[in-house]
Amino acid sequence: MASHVVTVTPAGWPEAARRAGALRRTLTTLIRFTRRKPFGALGAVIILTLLLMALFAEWIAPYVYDQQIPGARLRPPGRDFLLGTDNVSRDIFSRIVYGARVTVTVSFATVFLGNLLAAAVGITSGYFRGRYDIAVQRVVDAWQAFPALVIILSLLAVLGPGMLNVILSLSILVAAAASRVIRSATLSVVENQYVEAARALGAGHPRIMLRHILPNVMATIVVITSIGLGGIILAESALSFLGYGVPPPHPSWGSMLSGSGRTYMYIAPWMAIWPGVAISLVVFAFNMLGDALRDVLDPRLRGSHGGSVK
Amino acid sequence: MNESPNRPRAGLSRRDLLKAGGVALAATAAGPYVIGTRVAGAATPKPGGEFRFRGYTPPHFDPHLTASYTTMINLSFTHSRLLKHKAGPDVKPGTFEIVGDLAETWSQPDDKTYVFKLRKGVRWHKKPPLDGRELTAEDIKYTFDRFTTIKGNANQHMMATLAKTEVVDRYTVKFTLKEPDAFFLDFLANPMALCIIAREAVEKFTDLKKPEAVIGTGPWMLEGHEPKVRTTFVRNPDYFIKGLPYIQRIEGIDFNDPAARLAAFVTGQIDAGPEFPGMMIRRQDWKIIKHNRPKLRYVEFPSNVMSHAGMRTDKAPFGDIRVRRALSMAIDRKAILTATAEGVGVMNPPIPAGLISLAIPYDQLGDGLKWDAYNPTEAKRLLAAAGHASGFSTTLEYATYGSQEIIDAVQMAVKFWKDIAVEVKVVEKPYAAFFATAYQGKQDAMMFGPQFPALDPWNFMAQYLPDEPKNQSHVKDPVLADMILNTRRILDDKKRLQQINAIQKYIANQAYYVRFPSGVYIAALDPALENFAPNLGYDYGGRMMAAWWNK
Repeated sequence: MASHVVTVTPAGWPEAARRAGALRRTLTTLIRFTRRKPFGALGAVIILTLLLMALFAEWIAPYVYDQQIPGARLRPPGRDFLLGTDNVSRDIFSRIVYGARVTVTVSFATVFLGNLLAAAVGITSGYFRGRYDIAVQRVVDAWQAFPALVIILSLLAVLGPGMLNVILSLSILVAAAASRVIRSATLSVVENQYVEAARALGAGHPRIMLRHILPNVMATIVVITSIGLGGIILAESALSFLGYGVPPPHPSWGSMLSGSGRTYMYIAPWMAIWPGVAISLVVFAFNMLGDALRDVLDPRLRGSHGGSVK
Repeated sequence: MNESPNRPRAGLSRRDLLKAGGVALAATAAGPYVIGTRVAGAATPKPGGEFRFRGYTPPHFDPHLTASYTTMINLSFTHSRLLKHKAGPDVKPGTFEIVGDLAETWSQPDDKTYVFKLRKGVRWHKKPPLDGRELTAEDIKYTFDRFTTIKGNANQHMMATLAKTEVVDRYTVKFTLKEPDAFFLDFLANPMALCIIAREAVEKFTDLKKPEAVIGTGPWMLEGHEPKVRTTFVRNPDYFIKGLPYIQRIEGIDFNDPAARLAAFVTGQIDAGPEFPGMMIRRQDWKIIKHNRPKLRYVEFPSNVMSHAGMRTDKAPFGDIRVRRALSMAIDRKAILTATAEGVGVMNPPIPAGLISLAIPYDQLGDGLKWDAYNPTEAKRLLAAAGHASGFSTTLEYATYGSQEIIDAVQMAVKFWKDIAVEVKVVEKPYAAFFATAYQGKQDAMMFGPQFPALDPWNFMAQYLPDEPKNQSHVKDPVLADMILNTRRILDDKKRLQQINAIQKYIANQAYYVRFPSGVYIAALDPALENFAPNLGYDYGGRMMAAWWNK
């Protein structure tokens, strides 16, 4: 009978007990992490909240983001409308909840695309070295010599406004800077004996890079991702502020702050304050979490103040 | 000589204001046509001083190669026209009395001929290659020949009836028309296209796009132009009206950001309201401005800037009148006015209500009126009857013009259309790209934007003529085209106005565009600025010419 079957691991432990042990260890690690890195943990909670808001906006927000509520124009924060309403009679809390989608989509898609490109460039550059490395790094040098805003605005002038184009523009920018860090990490990893051993066993370049180097630079990628997310959120807000972001009526925190938020700053300051608070909180959260993860994952910082939680 | 229907009226009463659009949605709208606080002071004009206003960076300075208001406003300081609209405190906003500018007198020997006698001693600005040469009838002929023949002139339709321009003598020019044109003098006085230019400037600079080519006979000379920063003008000491202008220097400071220009006005960095057109303030800013600058002078009058949504009527589904009517009925215009203009504004017939003697009273639109009424249920029924019971998806191209009111109107409209199952994807374009494409009907499906705020009826009716660049809805309606073309042949004012009214009723019933309401402007000015009154239109320079500082 299936219910009497007990899966036994090679070590001879029942699966349920093994799972319970893993859960206990995870919880212990989380508790230690929270004790030693309270700001990092707070950042994680805020980010989790952001993700939940983005995923379940329809259930969390009391109104749809574009719903115009009759007779509710420019209502201050209060019992009826938690964060007030805007000049188009829309609930600001609902728009901030829906706006989290744009924030999450742009920031995560950008770091994913950007770091994918950065990893490809950085790992190959650090692994092959030689002329290829020199050529690639000079291109990166040239790219980084331009001011970020000039590059982004130029790209958006060609591509046009819109969320996808914002993601593409920011990804290219992120990739250049991140590839440098990943290349540095690759240069140290590539000298390790296990890489030599893999090569001696006849492993090809792709296999060595994917199976032996990438996992060992992953901690670096995780850290630059978490730290970079805050900057991307700010960049998306700035681009929405300049009119290059998501077109209306879809809310983004940047456009809420820049558009009607500033227009009505004198008579309805809550229209600008709340999106500003949301942006600040999330950027703070990503930076705190990124700092904490760097302390935990960077082997050079282990054992120092705030090092590993193990 | 026949008189156009937009000749001056005795004044603008509160009743006129209400009639203009039929609706004023708040008590304040019905309220003041007011000239606020004035400074009691010297009656003798004092020359000198500087006037600072919210300026504009144009795409370029060639008036024959763009219809952009940013170009025309700048050129209103530097260039003259044959005729102009009277300006000053005794002129009521929304009225446009035609007076001579470069023309001293004019006559109409027959229905198709106009003869203009030019002022003598008018000199071009002392800048190379003109260096103060005297203006002659040859310059007038050159201007009109270039205007009517140059490629890329979006305003060419204004001179569609002009057959030839002839120099009779050094100071006399004769225009012969192909057919009678009741709007001909309106076009000559128009501050939006027909300023007089010099051949030498065009020949030296190839065109008039560069700031160096800005050489006119106007009251001020272009002094400097820093794109996106400022444009400055200095008094023309050889201006043909002795003693004018009084103000020595004009500075147009470019503020694209509404908050920055509001702050600039509140703190006194600029002397007049910063919003387009005509030195306005936004109604939502009124309280804060009055609090900070309580002695401001202000005037209220309905706007002639009308936004509309155009649609490709040459393509499905917009070729179906039921779809167009449904899109119009889906819009809650009152809600838009509340959100964007604090509820104070006017509903627009096809000619904007702000042009008080040209627009048909809104409540007399007849059958077309019902397509403006907010009725999503009926809109859905119409869509279903047109075979779109489950709606459809489309795109709408627009530019923000740096205006939150436009953005808000667009997002509200998109929501209203969504309520009848029409999903509209908004495509936001930079102003220049929008102007080169959707503004000239080169959009995929729908477009949205404020329309050329003309002061004559023809410009509004021309956007329904086939092959006109501003026919953004691609209207090809032979009946309507015939009605419109016939209008300019009617020289009797009363009959022409009846025809214009009939056209407005017809257009409203066809719902070729979804018309949006306009706000009631508040023009606000420094109280020490004397002998100045705001009005509709781009003629900033013309209205400033006799103004002076009493401080």
